[in-house]
Amino acid sequence: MSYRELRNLCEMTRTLRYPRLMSIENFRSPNFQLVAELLEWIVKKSPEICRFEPDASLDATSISTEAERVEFVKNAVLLMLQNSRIKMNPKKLYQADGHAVQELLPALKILFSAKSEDMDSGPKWNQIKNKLSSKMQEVRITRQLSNQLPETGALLSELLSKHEYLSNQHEKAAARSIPLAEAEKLLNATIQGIAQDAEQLAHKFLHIFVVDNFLLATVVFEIFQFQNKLNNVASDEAELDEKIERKKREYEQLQKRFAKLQAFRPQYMDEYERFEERLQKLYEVYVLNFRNLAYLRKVHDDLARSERQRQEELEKAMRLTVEKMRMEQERKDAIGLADDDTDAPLIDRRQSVRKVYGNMMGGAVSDDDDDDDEDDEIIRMEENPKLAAKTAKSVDTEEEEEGNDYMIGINVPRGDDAKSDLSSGDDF
Amino acid sequence: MKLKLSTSRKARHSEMVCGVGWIGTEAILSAGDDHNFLLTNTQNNDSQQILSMPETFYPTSLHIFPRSQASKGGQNDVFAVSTSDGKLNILSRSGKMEKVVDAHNGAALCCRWNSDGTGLLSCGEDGFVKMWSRNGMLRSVLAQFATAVYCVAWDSTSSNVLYCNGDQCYIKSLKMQVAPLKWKAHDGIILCCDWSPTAALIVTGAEDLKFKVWDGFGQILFNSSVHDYPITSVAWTSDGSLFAVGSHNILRLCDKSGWSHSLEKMNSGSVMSMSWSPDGTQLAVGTAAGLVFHAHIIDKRLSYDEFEIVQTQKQVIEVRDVSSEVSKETLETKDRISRMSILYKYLIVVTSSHIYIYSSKNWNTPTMIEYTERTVNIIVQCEKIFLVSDGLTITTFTYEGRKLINLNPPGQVMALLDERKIDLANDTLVVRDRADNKVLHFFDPTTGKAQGDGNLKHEHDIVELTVNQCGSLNERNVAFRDHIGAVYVAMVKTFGVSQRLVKIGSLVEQLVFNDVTNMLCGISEGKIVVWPLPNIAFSDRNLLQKSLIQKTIGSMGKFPQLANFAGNTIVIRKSDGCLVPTGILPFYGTLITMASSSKWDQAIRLCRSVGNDTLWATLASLAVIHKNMASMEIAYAALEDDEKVSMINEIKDKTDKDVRQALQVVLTGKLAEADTILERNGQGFRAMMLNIQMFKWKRALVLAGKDKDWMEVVMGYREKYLKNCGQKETDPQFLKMMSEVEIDWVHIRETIAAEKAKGTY
Repeated sequence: MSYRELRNLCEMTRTLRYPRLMSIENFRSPNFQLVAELLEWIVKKSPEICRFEPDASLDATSISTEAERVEFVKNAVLLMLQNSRIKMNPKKLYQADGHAVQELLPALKILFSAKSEDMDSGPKWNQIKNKLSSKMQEVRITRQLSNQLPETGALLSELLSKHEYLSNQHEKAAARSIPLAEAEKLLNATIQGIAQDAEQLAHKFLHIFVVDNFLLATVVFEIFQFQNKLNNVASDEAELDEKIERKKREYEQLQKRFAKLQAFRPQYMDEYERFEERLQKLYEVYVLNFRNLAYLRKVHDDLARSERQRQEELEKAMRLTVEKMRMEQERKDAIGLADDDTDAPLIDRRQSVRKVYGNMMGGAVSDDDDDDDEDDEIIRMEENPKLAAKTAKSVDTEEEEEGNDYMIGINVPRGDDAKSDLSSGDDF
Repeated sequence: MKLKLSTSRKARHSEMVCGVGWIGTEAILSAGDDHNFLLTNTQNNDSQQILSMPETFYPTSLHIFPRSQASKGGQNDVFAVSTSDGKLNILSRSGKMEKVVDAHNGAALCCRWNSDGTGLLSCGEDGFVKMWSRNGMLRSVLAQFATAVYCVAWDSTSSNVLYCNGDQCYIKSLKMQVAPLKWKAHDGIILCCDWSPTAALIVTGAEDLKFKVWDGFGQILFNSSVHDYPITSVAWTSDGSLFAVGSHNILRLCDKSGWSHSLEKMNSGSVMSMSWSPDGTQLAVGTAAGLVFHAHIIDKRLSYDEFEIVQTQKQVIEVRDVSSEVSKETLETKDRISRMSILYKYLIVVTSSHIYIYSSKNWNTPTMIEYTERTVNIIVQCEKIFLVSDGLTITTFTYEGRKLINLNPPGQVMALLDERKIDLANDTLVVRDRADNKVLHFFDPTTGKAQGDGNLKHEHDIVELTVNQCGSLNERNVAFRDHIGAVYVAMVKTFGVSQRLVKIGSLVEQLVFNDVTNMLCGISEGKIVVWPLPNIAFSDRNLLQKSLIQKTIGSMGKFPQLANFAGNTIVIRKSDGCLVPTGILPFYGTLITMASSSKWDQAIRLCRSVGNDTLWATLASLAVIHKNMASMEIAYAALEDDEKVSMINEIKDKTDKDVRQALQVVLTGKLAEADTILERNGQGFRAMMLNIQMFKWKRALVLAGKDKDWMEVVMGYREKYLKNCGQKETDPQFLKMMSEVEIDWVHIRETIAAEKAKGTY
C-alpha cells in the first residue's frame, strides 16, 4: 500500500467516470463495502466498450454475512481470471484496505489504458474500420458472383447441346439446289424495291437531319454565348470586388489623413489667432464708437424736434396774445368812440391790426427767421416773464446736460433717454 | 483575461506528471511517474529529456530553487524533488544528485523552498512536517500528526509556515514560540495550498470540491462554488494578483479575491502540479495523462480616459479610442508581452527584453528601452516619471526613456514588495521597508537620495500606502493604512512643523488618491469615504470630520476593492469581479480647483447655491489651508461655528502681525504653539489671559510668575472658577500663592484696563 497507488486509483476512477468520487483516504482503513462496489463495477458496469462481463451474477449489496462476502470475492476473482487472465489475490481483496487497492489496480489499469487509447487513437480506429468495411464489400461481391456461376454454366451447356441440331440444319440447307435465273430476278426486284425505299427514307432523313442540325447548332451557339457571359460575370465580379477593396483602402487612408490634417495645426495659426483677437478688439471699439454716434445723432434729432415744438407753441401763444391785445384795443375803441360813426373805428381797427401783424408775424412761413425768433422771445418775455424765465432755465439745463453727454459718452444713462439707450444697447 | 494553452507534441511523459517548475522564463522542467525529467522550451514548444532516473524513482513534487540576485540563470539552478519512497532529493540541472535524505516514513508528499532559498519544507504520509537547510540538514520537526500531511507552504516573509492535515489548516510562526493557529478549512481532505508571495493570502483546495481564499489569520475571504471533481492543485502568481486552480480536466484562472477570470477545459485528467513563471504571465501545468501544458495570459484589458487597451495575442496589443470610431491601432512588439500599464496618457509595455513607452499622441513610434536585467512585476506611473520593479529592486525612468536611478529599498528580508507597498509622485518615491513593516522610506526618484525627512516610523505594521499627486513637495502627503485598519496621513517634508502624522480614520479597507486633486478615497464598513482635503487634519480635526463625504453603496458584497478614483468617478470591484462605477458630487473637485486659483468669490457662490454643510466644511478647510480670512469667516458662519467666527473677527481687529499669527494658531486649536509664539514676542499678558480663558491654570501661573499684579489676576480668576465649580483649592502651588496675594477685583479690572490701554491685551 502506498500513496502512489491510492492516488492512481483515485485518478483512474475519475477518468473512467466511476459514479462516486473516491477520496485519497478511502482505503486508509478497511472498507469492504467500497471494495465490493468497485469490484462489481469493474466486472459489470465499467464503460461500455471495455467492460469485462456485463451479464455476471455479482451483487455488491448482498455482502452482509461473512459467507456472502467470501462468495462474492471468489466469484469476482474467478470471473476476472476467466475473462482476462487477471490474477487477483482473494485474501488481500478481503482485507479491503491498501492491499486490496494493489489487487484492483491491474484491472483498472487495463480499463484506463483502453479508455485513454480510445481517446488518443480515434483516427487509427477509424482507419481500421474503413479497411474492414471495404473488405466486407468485396465479400458481398464475391457472394453475388458465385450465385451467378451455376446459371451461366447451365446456359452454356444448353447452348452447346443445340449446336448439333443446328449444324445438321446447316448442312441440309447447303445441300438444297436453287433455280438460278428465278432467284436472280427475284433478288433484283427486291433489291430495287429496297433501293427505292432507301432513297425515300434517305430524303426524309436528310431533311430532318438538316433541320435538326440547324436547331442544335443555334442552341449550342447560344449556350456558348451564355457560358462566355457567365465566365465574364465572375471575372467582372472579381474586378469590382478588387476595385471596391482598393477604394475602401484609399478611403481609409484618406480618412486617416483627414484626421491627421484636422489635428495638424499650421504655423500661421498663431498669427491668425493673434490677428483675430486684435480684430475682435478693434471691432468692439468700432461698435462702441458706432453706438455713440448713433446716440449722438438721436440726441441731435430730439433737440431739433423739441426746438420746433417749442417754436410752434410760442407762435400759438403769441397769436393768442395778439388776439387778446386786439380785443382790448377794440374794447377801448368801443368805450372811447361809443357815439362815433361806426365806420371810422373799423378803419382804425384795421390799421391797428395791420400794424401789429406787420410787426409781429412777418408771414406764417417765417419760422426759420432768427430775427423773428428773437423778437418772439422778447415779446413773450414781456408778456409772461415768469414762464419765460422757466423755459430759459430748462433750456439751459438741457444744454448743460447735453454738454455732459458729449463728455461722458453713453456710459451715464439719463432718465429721459434711458429707453433709447436700452434699445441701442441691445447690440452688445 | 484568460489562459491560452499549448502543449509540446514531440516528447511527452507516458505517465502522470507530478512536478513542474520554471527555469528562467522560457523553459519548463517537468518530472513524471515514468522516471524522466523533460525540459520544454516554451518559445518553440520543443521538449527534450534531460534526466532519466532509476525504476524506483517516483516523484511526488518538484520545486525549483528560488532565483537569487547574485547568480542569474547559469549552473546554480538546483531543485528539490520529493519521492514516493520518502526521500528528499536535491538535484542540479545537470542531473547531479547533490543530496538525498531519508525524510519521511512512507511517501514524501510535498517540498517547498522559502523565498530566499535558505530553508526547505517537506511533509509526508507519516504526518511529519520538517524543515531542512539548503544543504539538506534537518533543522527542525515542525509538526507531527497521525495522518498524512498533503501540502505545505511558506508565507511571503518566510517567517510562517502553513500546513494542512485532514480538513484542518495550521499556521505556525517560526519566529515566536506560540501554538500554531488552527482552523477547520474544508469538509474534505485538503490536497493543496499556496501562500501569496506578496501578501497574507492563502488559497486551499480540497476533496470537498471547493477552493477557498483565506487571510493570514485564517479568516475566510472567498468560498468557491462546488466543482465536479476535487481540487488537486493551486498556485499563486509571483506578484500575488492572480492564482490558478486545477481540478480534473479543468483549469481556472482566478483573481486574488477569488472570482474567476476564465475557465479552460482540457482532456488530460487531473491537474497534478502547476507553476507560474517568474514574471507571472505564464503557467506550466502538469496533468495526470502525462501532458505538460504551457499557458500564457491573453486578453488582458486596461482602460484609461478614452483609451481601451487589449492584449489580443502574445505580442500584439490593440488600442481603441472609444471617442472616435475610426481610430484603432494595433501595436506589435518583438517579444512576449509580460506587463502593461497606462496612466497620464502614456502606455508602458514590458516585454521579456524591452520596455516600450507609447505616447497616446503618437502610437506609431514608441520609445524603447532595453531591459533584460530583471523581470518586471510592478509598474507605477506618475505624471512625469514611472518605475518598474521586480519586487526587490526599483528602477525609475522618465517618459523620454532616460533611466534615472536604480534603487535597492532598505531591508534585508527577501520578501517581495507589491504594488501596495510602493508609490510614486513626481518628486517622491515612497517604499515600505522590507524588513521592518513599520517603517516607510522617502526617496527622490531622480537622484535616489532621501527626500524630505527620509523615513517615518509608525507603531503598527503598514499594509498599504499611497502618495498624493498634486501640489509641491511641501504639500506632499503620504496616506497609509496599518494592519488594524487605521488610516494616517503623514507629511513627506516637515520643515519646522511639529506635527507630522495624524490619524484620519479607522476600519478602512482600501485607499486611493484622486489623480487630479488631493482627494483621498477609502472603503469603510460598506461605505465609500472621501476626504476632500486629508491634510486639513493637521490644522482642524473638526473640519476633517465635517468635510467627510460618505456614500453608502448597497450590495457591494464582502470585500469590495477600489479600482480607480479619477475625476469624480470611483470605480469599485465587487467581490464577484464586477466593476461598479459610482460618482461623488462634482462640486468638491471644482471647489478645490477654484481655491487653488484664488477664485474665492466663485467658490463662496458655489457653496451658497449648493448649500451643503460638507461643502461648506470643505471650503472652510480650503480657507484655513490657504489662510484666507474672509472666506474662512463666511464658511464658519455657514457651519454655525459661532466661536470661530467671533475669533476671526477678533483676529481681524488686531494689527500686530505676531498676535495675528498666534491667534490664527489658536483658531486651529493648537494652544501650546500659540502660547509660545505670544511669549516669544513679548505678549506675556495676552498669553496669560489666553491660558486663563482655556483654564490652563498652571501655565498661567508660570507666566504670571514675575508680576504681582498679574498674579492677582490669575488668582482672582482661579478663585472665581473654583467657586463656580463648587470646588476647593487643592493645588499646593495655588495654596501657597493664595496666602501671598490679596484678591481685589477692582484692582484686577484696573490692571486689565491698563494692559488694554497699552495695547498688549
